Amino acid sequence: MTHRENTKVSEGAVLSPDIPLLSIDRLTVQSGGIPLIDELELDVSAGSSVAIIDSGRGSKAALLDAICGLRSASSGSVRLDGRRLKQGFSAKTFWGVLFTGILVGLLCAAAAVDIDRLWLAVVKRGLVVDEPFTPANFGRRLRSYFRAELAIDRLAGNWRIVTADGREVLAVRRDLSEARELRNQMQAAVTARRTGPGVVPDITDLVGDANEPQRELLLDETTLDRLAAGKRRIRFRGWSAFICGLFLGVGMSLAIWQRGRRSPEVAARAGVARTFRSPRNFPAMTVFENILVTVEQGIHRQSSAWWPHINKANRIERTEELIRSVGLIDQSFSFASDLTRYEQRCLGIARGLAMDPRILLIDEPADGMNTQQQHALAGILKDVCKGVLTLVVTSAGNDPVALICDRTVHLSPH
Amino acid sequence: MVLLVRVLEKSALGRAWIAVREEPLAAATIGISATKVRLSAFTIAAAIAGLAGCLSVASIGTTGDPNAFGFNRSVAILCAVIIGGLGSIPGTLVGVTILFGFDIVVIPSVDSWMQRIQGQVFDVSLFTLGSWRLALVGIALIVVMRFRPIGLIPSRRFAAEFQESKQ
Repeated sequence: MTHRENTKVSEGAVLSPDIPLLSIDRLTVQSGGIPLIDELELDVSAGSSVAIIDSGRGSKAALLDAICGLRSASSGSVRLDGRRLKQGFSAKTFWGVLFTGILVGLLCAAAAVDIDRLWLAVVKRGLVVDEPFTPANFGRRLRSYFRAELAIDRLAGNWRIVTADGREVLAVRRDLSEARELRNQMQAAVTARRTGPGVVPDITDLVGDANEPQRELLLDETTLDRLAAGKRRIRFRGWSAFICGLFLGVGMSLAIWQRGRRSPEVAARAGVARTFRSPRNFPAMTVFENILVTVEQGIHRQSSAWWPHINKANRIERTEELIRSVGLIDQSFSFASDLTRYEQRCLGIARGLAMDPRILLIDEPADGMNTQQQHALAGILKDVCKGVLTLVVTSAGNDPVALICDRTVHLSPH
Repeated sequence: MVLLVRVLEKSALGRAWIAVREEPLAAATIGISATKVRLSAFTIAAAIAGLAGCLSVASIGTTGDPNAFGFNRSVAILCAVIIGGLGSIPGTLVGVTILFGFDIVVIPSVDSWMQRIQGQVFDVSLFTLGSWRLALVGIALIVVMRFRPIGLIPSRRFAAEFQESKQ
């Protein structure tokens, strides 16, 4: 693709800095396989203005979309001040991703260790056996749940010896102290079974008087094995779920971050403002509010604070100044939807300026305007932008707005 | 609570909310992160709803009654907002006052009066307004939708939007 360039010498422009403010390198933008922009090279130096002229509809908008991040380029790069308009991997991103990962991991682990049963074991069981709810007791019960120790529960006046999750009832006693003793004996047997062969105590040793039927441990070999495996099972479940959740959370948040790297917000924060051909103002907000919200966002952009303090008087003053500069002071408090097309376009330009941008992209300002309005727009742009702000204007032909620019670039038709 | 919402509506955050609702694309190009702004709106709305839930539990005294949070109640609240005017704080207050005031004050008094009259004439009460309550609410809703679709006290903003969508 070839571009015809003709450069005019203009007096107001800031000339020849080392790095151009905006540099577009071999940019290709495709739409459904058809190239709208094909290997475009364009450098715009700070303070200069460029008119991009093309008679077709799609290419110019596609170029501006690609610059401000609304559309992704299929190849090539757009740099502002030598830096790509992409969000970097900052410390904030790292901690955010890690935090999300740990949170998802904890949630998964909570689901895997059965949070319902955990609640039952740690809080409710303490209440039914009238244990005071202190941090120490809480910690003890929590630890005991993750060791899968046997516990004592009460049901209708009976003391039951249950597994930690309360799913299995091993014995029932009418007397609390008796139940406690039996529970301790059972636990000793289970622990011994878990810690390995050789130290397994003879169950009859623990039972004491064999003639007393209530004193039987009622634990056969399979039950003992099952109970002994409880600790390993719950720990395995918890940790594996936590690790899976961690990976899932980190992966998901990285994917989200990656998708949001090249977004219009990022470009806007870097200082790229644009207006649209069909004016995209906020229709149900007044002109004043339209600009005020943009001014506020511009202040947010320049401040590193999460929620910066904004001087109210200053921003209102700035808003009024902007409204005056585009000549909408009479419509200040009418809704944007009530404006004429020309006024809407003025409002769009004012909103672009309100961002306090480094570069302003204006999409076909002359489209749909009569000659007088085109001249008026050219005048506004000349007044507010020339020599201070870098400007990229697209246009269908050599209209007055395009003529105020330092140079013109023709995207030749395909 | 009303004051809080009022302050929020007039704040920078409130304007960002409206901007994102109006024109997400333009909002993105001025550097508003739609995700963050929507999330904050959602969170604040949920917090207010949670507070309302606490108050309502305190007033009805139980959370055990499934009828307390039934479909009728949701519809009644929606009706109150629509009759009063969407997006307007005084409108919502008026809507709630009309609808629930009607329910609590007008219907019982009219009913007792009608029972007295009917008792004199027929010796039995044949008709109560209470049983036609939902129908009346429905008729009110239809009337409001027909003659004043933006609600009784609409916000300026919604009126503007309505004008725009009519054009």
